[in-house]
Amino acid sequence: MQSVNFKFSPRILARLGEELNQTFDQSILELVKNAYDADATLCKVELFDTSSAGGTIRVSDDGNGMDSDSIRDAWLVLGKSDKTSDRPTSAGRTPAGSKGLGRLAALRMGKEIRLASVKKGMSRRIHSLHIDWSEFESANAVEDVSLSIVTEKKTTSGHGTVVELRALRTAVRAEEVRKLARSLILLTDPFGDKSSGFQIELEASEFSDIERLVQTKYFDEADYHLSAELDEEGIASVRLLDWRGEVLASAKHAEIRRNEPERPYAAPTCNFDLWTFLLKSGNFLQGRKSRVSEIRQWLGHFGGVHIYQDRVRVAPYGDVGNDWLQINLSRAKSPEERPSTNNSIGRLVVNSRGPYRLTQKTDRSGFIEDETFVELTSFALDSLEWLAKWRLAQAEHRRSTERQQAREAAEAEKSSFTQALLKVPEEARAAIQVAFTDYATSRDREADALRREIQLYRTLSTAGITAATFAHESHGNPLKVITLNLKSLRRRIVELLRTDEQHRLLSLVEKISVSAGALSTLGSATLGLIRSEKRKVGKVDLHRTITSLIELMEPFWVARETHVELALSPENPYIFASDAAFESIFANLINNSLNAFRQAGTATRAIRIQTLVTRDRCKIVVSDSGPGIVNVKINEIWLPGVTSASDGTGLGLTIVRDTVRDLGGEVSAIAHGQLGGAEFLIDLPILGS
Amino acid sequence: MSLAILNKEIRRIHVIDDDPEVRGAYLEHVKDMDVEGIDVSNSIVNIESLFSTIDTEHDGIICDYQLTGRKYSACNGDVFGKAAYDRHIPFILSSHFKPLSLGGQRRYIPKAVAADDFGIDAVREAFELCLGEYQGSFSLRRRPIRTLVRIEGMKPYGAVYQLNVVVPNWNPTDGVQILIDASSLPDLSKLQAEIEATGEARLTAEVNTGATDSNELYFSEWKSL
Repeated sequence: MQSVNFKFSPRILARLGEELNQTFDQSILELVKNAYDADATLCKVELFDTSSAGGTIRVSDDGNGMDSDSIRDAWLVLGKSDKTSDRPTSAGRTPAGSKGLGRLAALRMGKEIRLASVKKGMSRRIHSLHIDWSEFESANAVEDVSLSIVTEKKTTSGHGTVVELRALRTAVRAEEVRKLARSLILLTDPFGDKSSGFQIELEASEFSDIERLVQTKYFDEADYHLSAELDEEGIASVRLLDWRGEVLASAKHAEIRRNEPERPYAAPTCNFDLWTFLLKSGNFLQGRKSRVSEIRQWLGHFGGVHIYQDRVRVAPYGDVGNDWLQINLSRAKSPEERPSTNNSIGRLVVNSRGPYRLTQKTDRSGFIEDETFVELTSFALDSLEWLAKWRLAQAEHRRSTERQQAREAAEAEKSSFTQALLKVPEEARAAIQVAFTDYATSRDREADALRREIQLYRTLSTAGITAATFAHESHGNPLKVITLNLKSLRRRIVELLRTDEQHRLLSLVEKISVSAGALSTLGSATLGLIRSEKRKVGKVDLHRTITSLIELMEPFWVARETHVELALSPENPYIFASDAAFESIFANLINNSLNAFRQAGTATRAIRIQTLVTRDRCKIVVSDSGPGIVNVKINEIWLPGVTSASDGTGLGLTIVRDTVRDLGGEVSAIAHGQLGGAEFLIDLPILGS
Repeated sequence: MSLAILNKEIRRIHVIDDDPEVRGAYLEHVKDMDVEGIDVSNSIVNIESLFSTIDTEHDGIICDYQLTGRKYSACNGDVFGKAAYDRHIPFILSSHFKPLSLGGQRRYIPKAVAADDFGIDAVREAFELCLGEYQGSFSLRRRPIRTLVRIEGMKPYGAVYQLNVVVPNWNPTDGVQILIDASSLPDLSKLQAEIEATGEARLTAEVNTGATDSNELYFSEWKSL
């Protein structure tokens, strides 16, 4: 029998170190967290000649330190950790670096390591260890390399640990130092009013600039401060405070967790604070414009929502570019009154004690996204949603008040004018009164027209919303009943009747089936125009959009016995817009033509859509064979309300004109074009083809 | 009276739809199959209450997708499809919604048809596919293959995400849009960050790459690379 042991190739040291902690700042942070866990009050990170390879990084602290036994049995045992998040340190800190492998990645940054430590209470002895990684590279197994801990007498007082990473394998870039500085500052909650009792210093020029930014603390100038809390029972509450700390609004759990008001959040106790800044000049005291730029810069560095677990920050939440709550996406979908990471800063402070635990991944890339994490995220998102709804309600109220105030102001101004007019010499008074009355009448007429246009848009929107809401009942189920029963009917006719009798009934069944098909397409074509993804802005292939729209509207122009011809250029022009914008142009022009055919009883009905692409523009010509533009001036056809049909909305061409202009193009019309009827020319700038 | 499908005799078919007229129309088809039709007319309190009345040996189900318009059911037909799959009960989903977007449940619904394509043959085919899969035998169009999926966009809708994906092994040029439960995606925030930074991300999933139409595709067992 032979007694054997596992042995590890030195390659495993390289693999573990490189694959666990990939970034420079995260590696150094692990050494800093070790200092925090050692109850240090001060940790200093110094960089020497690190702008090229071969430099040195020193991390020193005044923590509890280690004796030779601790170094041998704990520090040198990779993968084992004495720290568990259940056992606080003697200073009451919840250990931050619990994986035991954290320091390996940092240690591997240098070709040599020097460790020196003085244990608290045994300050006459200093224990040091020197590691030369090249010795491992030439060894067969990790165990074959002997390390020596040297213990010497020490004459000075003090305790703590110094780790030096010497002969760095690569240079450290300025951006990495900046990122490290940011991470170090955020590590132990600079948001709080009380000091965490753990101070970090970094000796690098980028540090002082960023530290100044944090120390300045613009929180008091936030326009809104959302303060939400989750208690031990998973019950949420929220308050909204203004810049003075006055409570503007508050809510209880049921108003926050609207989808499931009875259900508590299965997440750890936590506090979520978000400070939002409106960032408009003049909103700050004395209207100093420089404050806005300072705050923008501060938010640029520290904006976003950070997570702290037991007073230590957990990356990457709130890192530059990390929007884990999708605040920016929510704002893009609904920009009114929503925060973004550019105008807000927040923190979620989580307690790791209790039945619900968040566990960090081994590679320090965040928490394991289990149900506890999802519940915590839901709490934060629901709180933000409550804030958004409250602000929207305020905005609506403000608009309504503004409208009322505008009316009252107009009346007051009219009265002021009348008073002022009395001071004008009598001979001039009449002329001025007439001029003012004419002006007021024109403005009133314009306002009335705008109100009618708004009302019509609202009515049309309501019709669309109603159609979409009841699509299931109005077009789905009755049509489904018809379709299914027709199939049964067809089958039974064939089974039960003689062949010569079948035709009489089957021909009727066929006609019902065709009509049902037409009804079905009517509903799906209408709904097809309002799908939300069509309103998303992105690259729009013009030819594909035109072709898809023609296909979508086919039931309509086929039913009107119309021939549609596409004469598209061989290129593929595209623009940056939404499908909905482009569809609204062509749907309205086609509707226009079809209505013209109907009104005029046109015998030969044709629509032609032609495109011509030059380098950066696309000309689109839509012509029809209808009666043309008659009985109305060409330049008036674009005005809202101008229609030749009694049942028309008079908005179609207005929408075409406004949409084309929004896309940066121009639209014009001629009364009788190439097919004899109206012809519209759209000239659009394109991104390419 | 029964319907013989593989080694099973289907004696009853339960019809689930929130509209009694539509249920009636389906039941006419069931009548023509010489099978007893069961009109599920009472509100469905929960999955257990529904399946407690269904014989796993001799019953099948025709189910509509949209069931929550009235107070008939708290969930839609895709949820019942998954429950039927778990209990090895033959099932067909029918709906007028085109395309049939069933989120992550398509894996458990071997056949889903638009109302226009519903018929006796469709029911028979659906039940055959179900019973085959319950015995571990997948048709070419339904067989799950672990494959790379490229995600080119994602948008949240509550607890569900709409993903724009390309399955290079199925069609390297055209993408499809799918709805996936957030809980089935690994490393969600890392995924979002990657897409935000680079415009795309990659995962693997079990996909029926033999599908001939994008409506048949299902995605399950998502994993990071």
